[in-house]
Amino acid sequence: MQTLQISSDQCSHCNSGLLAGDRFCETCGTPCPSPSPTACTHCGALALDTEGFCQQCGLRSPQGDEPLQLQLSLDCAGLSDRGLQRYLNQDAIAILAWPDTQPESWGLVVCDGIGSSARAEQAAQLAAATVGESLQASLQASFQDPLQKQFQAQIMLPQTLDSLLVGCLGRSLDQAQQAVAHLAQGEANAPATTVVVAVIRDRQLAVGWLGDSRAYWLAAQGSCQLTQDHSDAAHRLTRWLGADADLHQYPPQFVCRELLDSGYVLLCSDGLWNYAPEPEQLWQILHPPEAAAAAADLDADGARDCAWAPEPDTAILTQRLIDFARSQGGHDNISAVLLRITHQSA
Amino acid sequence: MTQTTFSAEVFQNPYLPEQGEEVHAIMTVTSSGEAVEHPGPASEAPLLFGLICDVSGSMGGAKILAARQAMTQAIELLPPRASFFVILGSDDGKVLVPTTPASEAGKASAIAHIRTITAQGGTVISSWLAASQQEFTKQPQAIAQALLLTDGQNDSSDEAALAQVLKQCEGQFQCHCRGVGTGWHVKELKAIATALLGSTDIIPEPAQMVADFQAILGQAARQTIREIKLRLWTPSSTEVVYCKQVSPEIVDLTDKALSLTPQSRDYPTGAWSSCESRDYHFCLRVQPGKVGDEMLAGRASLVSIEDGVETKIAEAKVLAIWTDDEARSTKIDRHVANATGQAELADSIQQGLEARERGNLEAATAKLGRAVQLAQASGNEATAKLLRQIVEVEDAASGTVKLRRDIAKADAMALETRSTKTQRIQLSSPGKS
Ligand SMILES: [Zn+2]
Ligand SMILES: [Zn+2]
Repeated sequence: MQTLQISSDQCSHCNSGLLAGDRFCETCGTPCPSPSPTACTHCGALALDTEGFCQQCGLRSPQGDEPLQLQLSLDCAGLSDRGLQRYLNQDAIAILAWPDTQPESWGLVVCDGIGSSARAEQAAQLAAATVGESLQASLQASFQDPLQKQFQAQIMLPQTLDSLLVGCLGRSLDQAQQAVAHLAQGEANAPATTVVVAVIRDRQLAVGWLGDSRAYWLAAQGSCQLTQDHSDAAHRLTRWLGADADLHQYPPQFVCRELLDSGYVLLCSDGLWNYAPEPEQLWQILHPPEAAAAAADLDADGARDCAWAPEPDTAILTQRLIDFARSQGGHDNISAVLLRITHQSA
Repeated sequence: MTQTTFSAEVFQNPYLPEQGEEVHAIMTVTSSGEAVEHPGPASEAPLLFGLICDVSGSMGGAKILAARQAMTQAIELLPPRASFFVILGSDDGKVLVPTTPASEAGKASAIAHIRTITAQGGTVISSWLAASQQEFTKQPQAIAQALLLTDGQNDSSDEAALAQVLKQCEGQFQCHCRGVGTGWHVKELKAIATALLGSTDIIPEPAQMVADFQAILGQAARQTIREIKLRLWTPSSTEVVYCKQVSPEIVDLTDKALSLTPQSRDYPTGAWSSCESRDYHFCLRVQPGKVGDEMLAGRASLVSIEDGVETKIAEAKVLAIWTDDEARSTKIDRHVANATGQAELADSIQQGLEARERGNLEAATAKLGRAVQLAQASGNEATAKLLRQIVEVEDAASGTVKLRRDIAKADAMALETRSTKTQRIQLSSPGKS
């Protein structure tokens, strides 16, 4: 499990990125490989229902032991893991890229299906997929629109870009809300999920969220938490997506920021940040002291003169974050999506 | 027209201690109707109602006059979608009115025939039921309901024949049984009603017959779904200890299971109206798991059958989770506790009345005292009231009672007949159980 595998996150035909829950490649239409049937870990029957209960012996087998790994480049990766205590992974993640745009643009999504709601994993997957699809469409259109020439020419004022991005985020969350609300079948605990989504375009970062999944800016200096949890003192959520959510009264929140330094945008579920709530702690996990010491050695040798040494693959870094949470007990599902921002001016 | 939807909800404490193997769960099934212009498949089925009236010699006098009046009123109450028939029961079952639509003309002609009824002969109930079943075969798609009225005991030579006829009638129609006066046998009528998924009650005075028939007819007219089965799936190593309806009345369904596969079986629940709620109590014995294991110990679904097509209309899951946390595994779900209490209440009454019959007054007092205590604790005021006719209550909370000296036979029979009527959990006083 510690070895890295780039599994079904890329289309086997055209190598374009796939979203969690995709059944077909968005680019070329090739069907995604369906997950192989898993056997009951108690009696061996190939008869697990969607929640992992065996239709033969009744016992539940852990589901989703293969962590979901997404990677679109060395600079951007996501990992979602069941953790050690839960029977299901009810988190969902998605990564989007517009490789043709110059500069590159990115979309990151983390959803955490709310455990007390019905079919929370469906809520999370549908929310992540819907937000992803919505952003793919709306931002692609704005990037290609000839009227957006100024956008292409990078002369758009940051404020204008912010409002464009926030508009796209808001619409994507509205669509996700409609989709998740549709999952409800009249039950008292309708499917529900948190969501945090970030779009990065031309050094402008916009984040939207509902619930307690977080976004952080992590850097050698100036790390900070970008979102504020929608939860009360008893850690009960106060905002979410789902049939019993009221987005008029409890709307999503947005934050924008210009990224002027090198660092990381991290989106994660509480399965990670519960063990490391402070941005400095998360930075420490990405840059453990031994790595810092090695970098210092390099400095002393004069082998490098910029402050930003060649960085490891973000897939390895997300694995570090998940491993850390598992080492602390892994009580909840753990998800992290990481994007490296490299400042070129050094 | 109304379209009916069903919902099922399970109440249980899924946590079991290490080695724990008994899982209890209460499933509440609720139907609710919504008026629709273009009804789908689950719309109203036709109704065929059978009136089965004892006309043996003992029914003569006030009883037969009241029966004529009550049947006349019942027929007048039948909704237009219904058909009906009338069987007269004595040494054999005679068809007085064959299956007829509940039109004005049909009703008038039937009522004219009913005026001619006189009482003579014996009581051979098997023949009455056989004649009824013949009529019900004329409309196999209809909601089949019958009301059987008698005042006496079945002929002792009819025992074997009755058992056989009941087997044939099971699942073909539902039959409510009413005993008028006190000359009939509670166990005998209960056995018939239970086999045919109906209710049993006493009509102490002939004059009360009209109101009782009206209530039954009103209920039958509200039934819109012909047949619903309760399908229970369990894992391979799990045994169903029992499956009971526990509200509004206790009906043990365990022996009515029709096995489909080694892991699933159907229990009949009869016809449903579009606005009612029933509770079922499952007790399952599972193979103990390890601490931390989770098991799907049962999956109960409601299956409606229409024109031979099965449709799953609601589903609920029963879980088992093994834990070493005693605080979790020792908790008893309030709904389960209430159902267990109501079952003990019914048993205590039954045993108390039997002890009294045998002349064991000490045992009778102890059992009926316990019943008073349970009725009080659960807020089952209807049963508490019936108990007060039999015992003088000194302190309900502790179950301290004295047997009354002069007990009317009708009161003892009413208590025996209605002892299985249950009180649902009282949500206004949470945490009390
Ligand atoms: Zn492709
Ligand atoms: Zn198994």
